[in-house]
Amino acid sequence: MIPRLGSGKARTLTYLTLIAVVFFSALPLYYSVVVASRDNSALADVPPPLWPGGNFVANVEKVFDTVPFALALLNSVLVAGSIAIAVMFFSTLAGFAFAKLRFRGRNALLLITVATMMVPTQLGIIPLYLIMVKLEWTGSMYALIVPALVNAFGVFFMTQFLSRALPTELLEAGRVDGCTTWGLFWHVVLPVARPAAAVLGMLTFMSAWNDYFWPLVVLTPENPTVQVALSTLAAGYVSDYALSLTGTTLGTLPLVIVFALLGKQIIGGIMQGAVKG
Amino acid sequence: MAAVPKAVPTRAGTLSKGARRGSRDAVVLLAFVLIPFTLEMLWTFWPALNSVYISLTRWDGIAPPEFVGLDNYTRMWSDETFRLALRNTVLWLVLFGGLSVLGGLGLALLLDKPRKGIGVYRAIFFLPVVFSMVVTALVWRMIFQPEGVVNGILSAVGLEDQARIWLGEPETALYALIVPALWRQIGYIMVLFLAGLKTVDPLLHEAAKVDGATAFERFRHVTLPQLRPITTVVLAVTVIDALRSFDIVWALTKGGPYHSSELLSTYQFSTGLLGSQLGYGSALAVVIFLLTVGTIVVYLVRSLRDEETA
Repeated sequence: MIPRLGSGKARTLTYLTLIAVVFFSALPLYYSVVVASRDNSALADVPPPLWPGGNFVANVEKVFDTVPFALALLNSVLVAGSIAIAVMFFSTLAGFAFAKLRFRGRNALLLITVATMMVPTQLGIIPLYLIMVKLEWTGSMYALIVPALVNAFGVFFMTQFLSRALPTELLEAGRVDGCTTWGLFWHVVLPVARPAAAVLGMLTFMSAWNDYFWPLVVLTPENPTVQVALSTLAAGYVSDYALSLTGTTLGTLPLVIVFALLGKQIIGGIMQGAVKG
Repeated sequence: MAAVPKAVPTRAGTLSKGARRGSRDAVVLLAFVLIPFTLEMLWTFWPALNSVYISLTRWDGIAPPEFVGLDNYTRMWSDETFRLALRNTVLWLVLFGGLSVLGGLGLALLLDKPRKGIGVYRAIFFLPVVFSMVVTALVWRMIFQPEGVVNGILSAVGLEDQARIWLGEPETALYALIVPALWRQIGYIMVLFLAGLKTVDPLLHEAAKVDGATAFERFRHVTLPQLRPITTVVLAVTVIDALRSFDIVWALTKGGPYHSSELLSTYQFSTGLLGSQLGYGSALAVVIFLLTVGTIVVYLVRSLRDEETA
């Protein structure tokens, strides 16, 4: 709820702000598409080009020639997909237990889980890298997937959601009907958890897809994820912006498509969690 | 929507006895919690603890580590780059954190009430969040380059003499980096606040209005207090994100020029991993962790005290 915009002046101001933010948000993206569809020399043109050119396909071919981009896409889909599924599953399990079941040590366990959220990626990175060396997982996708199967934010998020959205009466009714804990989870909790789990899955997929720091440490340019491939593209001695931004567009397209299809549900789902509270 | 009866089970409403019924059930329950918990311990807690130990050693990653006590920490005091990185990190926390929270809250307030095309605005504002930091960095590197958009606009409005190499000059590098970081973060914070605003009871607003409260008073005394739970989440997320910021800085300046945009995170990466000073690098990571926990705890204690006095 914001202050109602009574006067015309305030309304004009609001719309000007909105338009300015739209420009600020969308323009850099639009500009990157313009550059991606042109020759690198177009950047130096005065005045700068305003419309997409016809060079996109040629640039795409060049991207695939320069880095193993198809492999990178495949790797990223595999990594982000399996992480998202695992996080959804484990977070819903643990969230249900923390939100609705009473057992010894529950609060302590929940507290520790939430505390792990505060551990910055940097803190564990050196030992984690050494573990990966010992397991001989460096350069392989296991190094990305296995440590990310669970995350504290997911557990916290699902706990919060389920403690509000899951009516205890429903669980008790399930108990009366003779459901085991597993049966309750399968038949009662999962259907209720679905919208929040979908949101969590999307957010997890996005952040796994976009993760840069850890893949940069543990992977090699020969077997990269999309982000690692992109940074290889951008790291040449002469910055070929047209090339890098073509890679960028290609590497982000899958996310934009998923977001366009599910975006409403993502934002709506986040809100739903709150509305039900 | 507010009229829909809500089921808000309190803690007393948790299932109790049933959970302990039967030993097979207990095993299942144990698995529910312990599998995720064990994984988290193994892959987050254990490496983090190890880092704390490594931070007490001198180690190049090849020869066996040599225990040196707190040497790495005392060394920080005389390390000028560390002090610069610490100063920059605090500045980053205040500017990046503060502006993203204010911006996100502002946008959420603008977009909370029904308005024509509201879904489109929300989607556009959220769009940058979809893009990775690497991608964001690329786009903004292009915008900031010497012949780029920023300098183009400046000369178009007659401010050529203000044009500069934004990312290449020590005076401007850090501030130039905050812009793309904000660009991406504000949309995310906006969504969190939008979710929170849905819980604000419109009836309270009506009542306050009838009582003659101005728009600002209603925001201050009706909206803000009800937003408190989500504000806590937002602030925690912001502090965590701000202090672990790495991607954008590394991709754009690698902390340069002359360490002018060095953050603790980039310094940790370049000394610890690239420079093979694993002990010192780990000590820097511990400092990042302590800063994170410290800031959040201070905030939580303050907000708890506020609640008590309120």
